[in-house]
Amino acid sequence: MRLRHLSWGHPGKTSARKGHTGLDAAGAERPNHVPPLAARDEATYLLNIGAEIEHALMVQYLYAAYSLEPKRFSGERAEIVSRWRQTILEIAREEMGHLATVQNLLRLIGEPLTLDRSEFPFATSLYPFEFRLEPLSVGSLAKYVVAEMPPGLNDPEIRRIRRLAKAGNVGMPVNRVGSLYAQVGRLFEKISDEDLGKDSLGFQARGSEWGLGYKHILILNAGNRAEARAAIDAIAEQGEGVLTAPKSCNDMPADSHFARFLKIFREFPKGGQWRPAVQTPIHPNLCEPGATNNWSKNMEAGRITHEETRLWAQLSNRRYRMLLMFLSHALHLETPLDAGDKPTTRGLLLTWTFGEMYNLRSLAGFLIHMKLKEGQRDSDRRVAGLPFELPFSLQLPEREIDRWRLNRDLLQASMSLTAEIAKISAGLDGAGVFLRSMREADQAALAIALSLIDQNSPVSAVRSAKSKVARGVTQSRAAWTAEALAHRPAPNAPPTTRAARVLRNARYLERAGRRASSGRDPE
Amino acid sequence: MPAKEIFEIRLLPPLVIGRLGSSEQPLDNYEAQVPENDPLGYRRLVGAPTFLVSTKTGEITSVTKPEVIRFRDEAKLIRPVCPFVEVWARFDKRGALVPLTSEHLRELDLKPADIKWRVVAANLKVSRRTGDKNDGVEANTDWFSDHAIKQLQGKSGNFVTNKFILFGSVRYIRPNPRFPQIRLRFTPATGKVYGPSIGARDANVVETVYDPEKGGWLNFFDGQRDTPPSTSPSDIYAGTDIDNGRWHISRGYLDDECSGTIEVEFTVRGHKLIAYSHFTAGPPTFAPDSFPVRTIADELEQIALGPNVSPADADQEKVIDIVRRALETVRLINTAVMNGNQGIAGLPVRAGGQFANNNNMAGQDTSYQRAFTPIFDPSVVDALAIRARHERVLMAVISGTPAWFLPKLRHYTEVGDLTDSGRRKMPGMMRGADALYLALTRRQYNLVKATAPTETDLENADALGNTIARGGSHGQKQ
Repeated sequence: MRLRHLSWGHPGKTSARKGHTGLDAAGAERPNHVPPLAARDEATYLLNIGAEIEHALMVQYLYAAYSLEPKRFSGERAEIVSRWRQTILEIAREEMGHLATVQNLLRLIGEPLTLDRSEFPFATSLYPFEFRLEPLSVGSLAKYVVAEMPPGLNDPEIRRIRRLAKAGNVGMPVNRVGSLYAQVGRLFEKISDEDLGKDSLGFQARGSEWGLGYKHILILNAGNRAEARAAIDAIAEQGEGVLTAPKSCNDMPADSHFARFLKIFREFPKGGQWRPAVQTPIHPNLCEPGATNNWSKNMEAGRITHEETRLWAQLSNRRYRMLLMFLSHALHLETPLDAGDKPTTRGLLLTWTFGEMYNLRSLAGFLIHMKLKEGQRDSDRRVAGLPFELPFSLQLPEREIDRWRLNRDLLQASMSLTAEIAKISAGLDGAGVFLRSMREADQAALAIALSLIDQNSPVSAVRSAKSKVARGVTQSRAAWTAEALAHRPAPNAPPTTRAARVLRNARYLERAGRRASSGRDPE
Repeated sequence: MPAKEIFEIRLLPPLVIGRLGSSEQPLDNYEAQVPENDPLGYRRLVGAPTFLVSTKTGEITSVTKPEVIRFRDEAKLIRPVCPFVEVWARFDKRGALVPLTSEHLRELDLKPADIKWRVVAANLKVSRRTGDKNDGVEANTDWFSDHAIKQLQGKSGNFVTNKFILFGSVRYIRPNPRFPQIRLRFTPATGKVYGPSIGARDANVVETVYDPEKGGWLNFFDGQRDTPPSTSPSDIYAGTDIDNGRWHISRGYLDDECSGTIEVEFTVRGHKLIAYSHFTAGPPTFAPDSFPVRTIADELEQIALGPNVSPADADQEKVIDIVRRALETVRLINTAVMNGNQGIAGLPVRAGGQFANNNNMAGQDTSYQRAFTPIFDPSVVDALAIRARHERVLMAVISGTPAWFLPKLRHYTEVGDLTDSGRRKMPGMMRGADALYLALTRRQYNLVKATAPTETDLENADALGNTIARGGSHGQKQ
């Protein structure tokens, strides 16, 4: 994302563009491209920023939540730390919903998806605050409160939080996410009807697919202008709680991100009486010293040098990349709304994406028990954390077969890393079984990827499946068969191997498909 | 120390479950173990010590540990599961229960023939439905003390004279010096269908036992006047649809499953000692390396230990077991079919005005005036994808992650929640005993909750947060 040319006005401040205050009629910030672009193009620009912000917020919130480990405490402290962790994880999950909704809006206006975001500390007005992975603290909470704050609040408590947020944001004012969406909403009013593609709905992420039924995860679809405006308002409202200026911060829905962060802020120990977060670093990283041109003390302090921990952190980065690539791949496959008889691999990729979310949570749980630095003493409480380092590219190959080749490569790379870690990691509870499980799951996924590469493309696999009796299960069968082949038994192996069972199950499913409507209740 | 007195006896286990099978060879004993190197894989069936009983004498001749478990014999007949019940005794007021042996009996001036057994078995399924007591099928061995095979001949007032259904048999195992313990073995029936004889021979029926002139089971249908309330769901018997599916007419079939009690009785020094145990027979297992997410064992545990789980009993390993069983359950389900996806299996979307693929919970929901719609988004229920999803959840709990998914578990008060989010809770797409959605037992649910108390229970946590804000006691481990 090119970061130049954004004007983000603040009350009392004139923007870079002469004569333009960057404020709307109510005096709130109004981000613009300088010079102005066509409405659709400018909406794309701001939606790209929106996607990056949501992604960055989600990652920072996850990191903050994972820095809380309730098991370190007992009694009420354990419970309140657990609740804070849960609340922040929920907000992160909702940011994921916002990210998906922004992608849907990009789809609606025919623009490519974006999963990019800033990575290292980077001072720009593009983001509501400097991107910074850090354990939960009063300062970071203040930033989160302000970033999710509705317009117009200015009571003493808020002024104090603003001051803390500014101090925690290396002196920069914290911009509001809601301003950006308000501007996107205005731009959507100007986009012509012909530029809004209702036929993009099949590509859009759906709440029923991705939301898991959680009512707070807003994954909204938009097939026209009204739905787009509603989606924009909904995600802005979920962040800030209201669309218009409230009288006070106590006059806010309790389930907004703002109100939830404010509640944690108020409960959080202020005077250092106790420290809720583990000593996970600011910006854990696997960089070589000076690898970036804004190398800082924090970057050096967060550099993971412990040999075993580095391997686990590398594995985390690989799984993070897999998450992003599976997500991107899934969102590039069309699934019509009545897709029951038109199976695609989208559902499978979606499952894999969720799997990587679970894996990252597990890996975070291991990393916060691992030493940060080589030679670190046992009494030194510094621990590692998820680095969330972005891969060299987030581009998805254009051809479907090449996408599966990429999936194959990612799985193979992860499997070799897990094998390497398994040789040296034995000390952590559950680590060995987790690694074996991960390898097992990767092996099954790899077999599917290889099968789909063999068939040239999943599209042709689906087409051939239509000629068979049980279309809905044939896709599974193909993949299961591939899995069975991958686990092909040695010639002298007993007949009850996993491969044989997998094949048998596939045949069973096919028969069950044929019986689908033929009889009464099987009881 | 020789036994001088017996203070208590018990028949253990208190409940045994046999499995039907027509082979003469009982199934060998085995354990289903999670393979260490394949944590997401199928359980391995590992042979366990198995008693071999002489058909001729009724005594245990040896104990073996089979290397391979075979569920059928050489003739491909299914080998029945034939459980033992054992007499345990307490010889000391505060002592532990120990197995009673012929040696103990000798010390008490008794002999094995002084032990009396009685077994009563019944199959009341038809009687439950028709309301006619004479449709109950019952067997009673009366008291016996010998070691001969005792047939469980199920008789009914509505049977043809002198006809019965064989529920299997029981045998008092003859103790010998090597295996002196006092035991009884239940051998279930073969798994056959009995019924009335109507017109041409019914290939399903092995023997005509039911007399339709005496009872009304033949041509019975649910919903008749003066019959007990129908089961839910109704019509769960073999029959024929008439009137466009409005009525389901019974073919009059009966089976040879049964449940019952085993009683044991003997007198020591003038004191009569009595104990009893329950037994039942179920169908053979065709997926022995997989366990359902909710089993009778879960029900019994709840009855024995109560629905609540204390924090001290909150064990991640138990949560892992529940998730593993969920994976094993879903692995056996054609999820696209069970979800109600239309157009699969080459079927038209509609057939005769009805949805073609409605033999699932989505179809059942229409009985409650809910519009037929798939439960989950049709694009995500591919069997392989769902299996992968469960595998990854299992991986997460194996890694020690607290059970973040409690809100996705169906609460036991939500089995009738037919909203979109209600139908999508777990266990998914499955029916419970009341025709509505399956939920875990209260104890299972509370176990998951206990392992992650505030991760998931936000309502209580909010109350707690307020308490802390007012100044509560704090504790920190480090």
